[in-house]
Amino acid sequence: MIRFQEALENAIELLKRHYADLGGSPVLVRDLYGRIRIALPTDETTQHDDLAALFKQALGNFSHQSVFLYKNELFDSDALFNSPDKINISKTPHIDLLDRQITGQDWLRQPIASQTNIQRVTVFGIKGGVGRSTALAVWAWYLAQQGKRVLVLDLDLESPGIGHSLLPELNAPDFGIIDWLVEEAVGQADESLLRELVGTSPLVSSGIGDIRIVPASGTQEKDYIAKLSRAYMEVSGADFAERLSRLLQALEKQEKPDIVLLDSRAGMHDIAAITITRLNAYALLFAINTPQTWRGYRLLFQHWQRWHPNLAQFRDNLKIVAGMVPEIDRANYLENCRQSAYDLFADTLYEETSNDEGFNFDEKDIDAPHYPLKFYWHRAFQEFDPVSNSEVFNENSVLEAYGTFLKEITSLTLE
Amino acid sequence: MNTDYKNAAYRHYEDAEILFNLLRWANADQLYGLAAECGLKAVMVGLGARTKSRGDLKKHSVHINKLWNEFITFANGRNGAKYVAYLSSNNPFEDWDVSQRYAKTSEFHHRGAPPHPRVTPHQSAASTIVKKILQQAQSDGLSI
Repeated sequence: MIRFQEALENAIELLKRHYADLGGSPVLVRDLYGRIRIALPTDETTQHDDLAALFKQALGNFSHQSVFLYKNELFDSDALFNSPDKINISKTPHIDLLDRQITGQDWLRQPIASQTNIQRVTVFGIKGGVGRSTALAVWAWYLAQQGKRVLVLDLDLESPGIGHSLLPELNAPDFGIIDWLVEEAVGQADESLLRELVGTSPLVSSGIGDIRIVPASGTQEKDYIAKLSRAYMEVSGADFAERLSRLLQALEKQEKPDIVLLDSRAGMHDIAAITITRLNAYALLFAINTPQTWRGYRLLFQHWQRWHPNLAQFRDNLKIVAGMVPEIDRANYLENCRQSAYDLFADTLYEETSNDEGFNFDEKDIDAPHYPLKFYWHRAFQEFDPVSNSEVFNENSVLEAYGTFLKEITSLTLE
Repeated sequence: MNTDYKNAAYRHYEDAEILFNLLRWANADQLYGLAAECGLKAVMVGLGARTKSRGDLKKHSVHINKLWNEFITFANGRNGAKYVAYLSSNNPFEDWDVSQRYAKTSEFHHRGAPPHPRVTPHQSAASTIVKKILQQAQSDGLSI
């Protein structure tokens, strides 16, 4: 029996072996079921019947009744031959792949150009519960205390939180990101809606800086799930990522922040794909030192390494963060964490080079993407709820737990 | 004349059903194929297909015997996935061809005899496209 992962390899091997019989440069199209066909810009030749039989044999249930799709027999040939999702998988001989997917295509798409030039930082964890949102809140507070204008977006739409952890009900805006998405779909995302998406956190006392927060939902919320279940829709040809980029740019123009912090969803979700790879953001990848964490990142990095045509456009922006480092035996924990992170990068994204060129770093290079930033586990930041307990932003505990993290991440992104 | 795939799909399907009920298998069969083609084209255009032939009635050379497979590979992302789910991977119109309008009536069986076994799968596939896919697309708000 031919399994999913063997089917594509078998197809590529077969095309390479019989390339001359194809009569043109093929695009392998893998449909939503994972079944593969050969699309050709040329016409049928006498060899194609034999080739189709071999193809069916090599791919089993992942093949089709009719193996070939010919350009002049297509209603919309551009959608196959000129799709922006087409990936070159072999240079000689030339073979492209068009991988139809229901979700997850953003992991491989190009970054979206932005008209604003404001530093964006994505905060992501392959697994939840690693202190991601708390670290983001503390950093936002720290930056604002230093006089920076910080814009925070709660993009964790399925599990919203950061917005309301920094924003008491009284200061919260009427609407949230979810409203912009459904209103924009019917042409009602105007300037007044944009103004009503943002609230100011009262937790900042510097008087110069502030934290402006865009929550997932606003105080007027009555029907969140009904909106969420429409949020990812493609609207008039603009996919979800393009719409999100549009929202972000509009907010940046309105707010003119020094920095934008994006709280991404955990795990391999489309929102994470967009915030890490498509919005030109610096991406903090939170980790605790468990095999599950590194295995999760490995699955993702392997996908990028195997398929991503634009890896070079965002790989420099990745940075591991060792979250909630335990109190006991810190040095040893961090050493293990760094080693695991290095193994992850070395096995996947780092290139093997004999000189200084290429994407490669020494294990002990503190500027390397794998070399973890760190913050410590601290009792004061459990049950984190600064709105009802502003004591949590006590200089001492902040510095004890997050001191080096705050200094390093601020210097990496704003200096 | 302007193209209106959705309207044409309904018309061909309704007329095919009338002919089928009058036991006129050959032309019913031809119209099931055209209904299925127009239905899928309507949804493809609604999902963003860009095609030069739109508006030009003379350039429609792709029929359901080819279009079925194309639709399956065209559909993509959350918006497209639900429509593909209605289509079987084996194209039931593989044995349908627009040139069968030149064929002899007896190829489809004469009035009075049951229809050729070729015809009923076409009827059921056209019905899925018109009654399920097209209506789903309309209630989803696709511009078709």
